[in-house]
Amino acid sequence: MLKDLSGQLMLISAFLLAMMVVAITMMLNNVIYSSNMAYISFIDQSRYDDLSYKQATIKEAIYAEAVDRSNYNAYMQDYAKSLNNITSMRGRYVDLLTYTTSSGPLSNTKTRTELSISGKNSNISYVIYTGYNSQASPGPSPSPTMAFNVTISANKTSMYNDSTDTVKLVITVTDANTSLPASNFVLDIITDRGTSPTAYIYDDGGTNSNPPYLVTDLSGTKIVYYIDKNSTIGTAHIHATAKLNNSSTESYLSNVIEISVTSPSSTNLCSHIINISGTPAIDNIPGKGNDYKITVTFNIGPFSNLNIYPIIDKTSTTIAYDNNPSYNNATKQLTVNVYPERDSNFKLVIKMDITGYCTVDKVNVSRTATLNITGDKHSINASLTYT
Amino acid sequence: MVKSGEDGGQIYTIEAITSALLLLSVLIIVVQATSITPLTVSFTNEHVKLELQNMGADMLTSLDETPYSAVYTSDPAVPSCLKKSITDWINITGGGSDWFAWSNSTSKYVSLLNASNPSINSLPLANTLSMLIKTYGIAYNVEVRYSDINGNIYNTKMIWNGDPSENSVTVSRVVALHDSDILQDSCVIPDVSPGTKFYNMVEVRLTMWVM
Repeated sequence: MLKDLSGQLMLISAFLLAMMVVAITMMLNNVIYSSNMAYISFIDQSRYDDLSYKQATIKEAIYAEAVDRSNYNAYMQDYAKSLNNITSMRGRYVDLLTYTTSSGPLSNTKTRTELSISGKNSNISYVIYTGYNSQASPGPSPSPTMAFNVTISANKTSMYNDSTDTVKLVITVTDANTSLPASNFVLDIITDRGTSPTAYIYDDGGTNSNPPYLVTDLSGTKIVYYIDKNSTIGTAHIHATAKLNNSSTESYLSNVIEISVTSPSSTNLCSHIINISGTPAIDNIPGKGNDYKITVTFNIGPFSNLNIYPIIDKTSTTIAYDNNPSYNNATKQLTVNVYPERDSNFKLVIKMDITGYCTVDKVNVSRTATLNITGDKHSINASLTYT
Repeated sequence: MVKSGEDGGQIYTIEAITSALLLLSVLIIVVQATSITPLTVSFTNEHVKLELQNMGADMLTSLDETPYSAVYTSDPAVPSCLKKSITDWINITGGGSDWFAWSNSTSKYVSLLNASNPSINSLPLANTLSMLIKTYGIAYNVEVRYSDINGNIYNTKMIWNGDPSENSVTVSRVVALHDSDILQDSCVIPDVSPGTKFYNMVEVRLTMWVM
């Protein structure tokens, strides 16, 4: 029996083709759809919550430092506990770790708060620095484990007890653990020379004389100039204390330095004085236009940096003289050449300011000597007076 | 085309398979197809909720980041607009024990529990939210969540405009209260830190839905 099945075959083929078209369309549609579908991360609102916690923590850290500094740690612990009570309902856990630090690139004492927000699939950490850069908003008290080294040094060990002489004091505060400089420390410099400002003052450069407080700079250093005004001579024992802020009860002590204080008017200023020879030496016999060479000799003794500054006062025009008197460093001699011109009398006064540093008593001393030269063409006299 | 009889079995087999596939396809389509109802999760619906969430979160953030001061200040003691709204609501209602509802009249917000209480019309939060209902037809509730010293969680209403729909969204913002903020002796929100100036943490929860 023969059957014509061609129509049936075409119909089946049409069905299969239609189904293939539908299947391919659905596959392509799924590919396009999934490519443009909003992922769950797009609509995840937890970032709002995390930012809310972070902002609240920043505000509370600042508030606690400014308003409740003495209870800072307890404040932040209670805050974290209360915040956790709320966040735990959302599957979030908040952890706070706070401590003070004085190190870091800014070298400012501040509070470091580490905020960790943990969730099911996330763990976000923030580091929040709060604190103070000036005296107006000091930070919390340091933890007992913190330690700082305070050193004080002076540029000399003796001084006069008048306002013209100063001793440069350098106070440095460093972190004992890291040796990094500690800035914004409030310093108090203490001496046993009496009460400021009657007995002494500190000058930090002229702009802030005798300030109520001294503060270390970014290098952890403060430089002041000590001026002793106590009329009694003696020894000034000076040391410094450093505190985190004005209200801090914990302070760090420095070493003690000693400065000998003497009076510039005292006869005992220096046991050695600049010794000037009594009679100037005249090395030539006058006559017929010859010149005179007058030499004054100074004993160097225990002095260093002995300097002589001659000031020539020519009171007569009858002579010519070498107006560039010289002296050599070996003997400290001052030599003056005088050239009488006529028979008339002449007079020459040379005033000398002589300064030197006594290496025994470690003080600067000075004297004034005056060389008086009188004479005429046939004779010459030279005398030396000094104070 | 004329086929011999021995090809008929193959064609019947293919026909049977095709028929089976057709029936299976119809069955799958029938099972997969569902009716679209208001509660049906669709991308459009999710998008609307996302917009609501963003709007609410942005409003709370903006209020919380704006100091309640005529001039800009960085003084930490100056509260934000959001915090000022919460503390004022606490203090004018005798400790946060009153709810308010939008009255859609000149009265704006009216007390639901004690009509003698002052209105909260002037609070920044209430003012800002009233724009939602007037401009966009979005209803909202505001609740305050807090804990006691033992960690128990409580919820109290501040603005209540009715039960939210199934498509509502809730956003929140945490606000810290200090001892100086609470002027009432009896407050529903307890002090969880008696030894410090910290008072308690509250979560301001804003629930919104399209009416």
